[in-house]
Amino acid sequence: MSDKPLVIFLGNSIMKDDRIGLELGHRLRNELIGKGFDVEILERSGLGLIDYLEGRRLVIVVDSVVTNKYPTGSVLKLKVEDFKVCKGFSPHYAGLPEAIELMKSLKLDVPKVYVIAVEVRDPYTPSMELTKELEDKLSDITLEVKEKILEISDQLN
Amino acid sequence: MVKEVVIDPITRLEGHGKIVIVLDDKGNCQKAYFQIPEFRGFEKFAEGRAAEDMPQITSRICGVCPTAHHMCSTKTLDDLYKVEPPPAAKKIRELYYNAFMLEDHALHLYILGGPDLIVGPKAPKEDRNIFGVIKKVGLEAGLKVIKMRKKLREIMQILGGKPIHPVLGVPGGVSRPVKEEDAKKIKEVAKEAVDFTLFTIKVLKDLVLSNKEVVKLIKDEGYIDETYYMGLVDDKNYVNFYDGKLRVVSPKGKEYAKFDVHDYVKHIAEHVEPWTYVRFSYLREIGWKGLVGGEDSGIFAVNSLARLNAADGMATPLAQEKYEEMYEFFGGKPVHNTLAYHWARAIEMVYAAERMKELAEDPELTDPNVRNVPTATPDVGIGVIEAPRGVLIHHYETDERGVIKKANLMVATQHNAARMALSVDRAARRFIRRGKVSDGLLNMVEMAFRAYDPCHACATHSVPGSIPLALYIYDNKGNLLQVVKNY
Repeated sequence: MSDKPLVIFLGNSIMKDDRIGLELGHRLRNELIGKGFDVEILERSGLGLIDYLEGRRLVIVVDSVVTNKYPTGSVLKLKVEDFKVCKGFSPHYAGLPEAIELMKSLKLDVPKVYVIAVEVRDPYTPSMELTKELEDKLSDITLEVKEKILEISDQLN
Repeated sequence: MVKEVVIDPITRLEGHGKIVIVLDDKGNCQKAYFQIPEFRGFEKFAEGRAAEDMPQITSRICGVCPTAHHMCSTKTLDDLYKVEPPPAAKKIRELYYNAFMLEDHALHLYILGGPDLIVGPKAPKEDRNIFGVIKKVGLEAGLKVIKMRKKLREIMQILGGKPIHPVLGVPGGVSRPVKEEDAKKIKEVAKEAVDFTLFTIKVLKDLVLSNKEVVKLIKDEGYIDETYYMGLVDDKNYVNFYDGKLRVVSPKGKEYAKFDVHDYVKHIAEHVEPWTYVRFSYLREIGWKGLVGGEDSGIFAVNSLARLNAADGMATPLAQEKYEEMYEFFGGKPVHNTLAYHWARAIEMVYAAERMKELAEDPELTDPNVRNVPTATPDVGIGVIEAPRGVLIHHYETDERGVIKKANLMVATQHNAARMALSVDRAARRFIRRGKVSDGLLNMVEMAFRAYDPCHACATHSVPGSIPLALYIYDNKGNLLQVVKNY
């Protein structure tokens, strides 16, 4: 069991706004490692996440989300349970609650999992560029995501 | 006057399934239309990019079968640059690919589609998923599935760097050789994998084939469609996932065609219907005769059962034994029972594990010569592989620098689209009667397409075993009477 918190940045590098998690990961990776976090930047979803959740006490997942309820670039702090009622979530999220449920069913130790979600506009078009609105807000989003990660970590320490 | 029942759209954006069911005056299903999204835009996206980037780009098309696209793209680059990989490179690729097929099939069998048979279609909705499977097979067995899957991913990581988006394939070979100590570990896992797949066959026998009610359903006319079948075969006409010729057999089991993928355009054509975005593949010479089965219709099927039907056998002994058992059960070849796709998948798991073991024990696997550097000027490359969901073809045309001018990706779900539409139509007509549409009946219709393990984006939303579907029931005046959702 690792006491080091793990931050997982999820996304798809060729799906327009769905790459935001990866962008944020590349921007924050070194700083977070310097602050004692483990960091993974991943293009995967579903049950594959179990490999990363196993043996951890705290996991923070950063990804894109489309709720159509918040302005593009909004940073939301959510618990895994929120996704069961959250419509229109990304495929990455969809696997997370089920992966955790499966771990519980198999009597595996389940970490505390938080999700930091960035509201995006278009995670579906093949493109290696973010929408301009999101690109323009990237520095602010990076800062906010970092603050939320540290906030979660501080609360649990 | 007809009534319409609409199951909300599968759109790539929302990931919902859409089935339009037309009811007659008595409330019986008259016709059902199954719509699936086609993953569009990547061919255009590829234009202007270096062909050498395609194995990485195409592996990100979706989270369901990245390795299939990676490997197919790599083989297409071999063809584009007219380079033959060294024997060790081919073996490493095939070993990697079989580990992927086994892992993917296990995921489908235990988690996505298998619960239909293992737990049973009439089980409570909350049990028709992996959790229900664990209740049936036991906690220890559930852990075995998860652990095996993890070990297979570790093998893929040893060979390919990344288990999801591999960096293994390069034109003319692979990116790195296999070390002796790694080969030893792979051998151990492969041996374990064979045992795991035999355990899976036992689960099928104990929990599915011994259940008379489920067997009755497998043989039910609501799940039978007679079409052509296509699959890759080796020089003995045995199933091969990595390479070979495309063989097509008729609904009566006779060889109809056998061709190199370079001739795919001569054999495979595409048909468009106004009610769906998907292009239906069909056999060009026979032609498109509408959504009907039989020898006069060019509709063909791919994926596990189609591969077994299109072949004369399996290339490994235990898989061959299981193959013979399945055909004996159904009374001969070909098998047209859609739910037998699950059984065929389990047999292919045995083959994948045995083939992994064979390759892991091959001394040539650790040969350091794993790449022939290409020197030819690129122009056209065509490659084929058996994705878990069936025949996958990549076709690139480039300029002399290897920059993509045109790309065509023919994916398995497109080949299976017409057959899936037939199956959904048949199941809906069989099970939806007198206007009664319940969650259970919706599940019976879902089972007709889930057996194909369709690769649309919503599949990634369906870890608990159900593709999001909503059913809208209208009266004959177009008024919405009822909505049934499974999400």
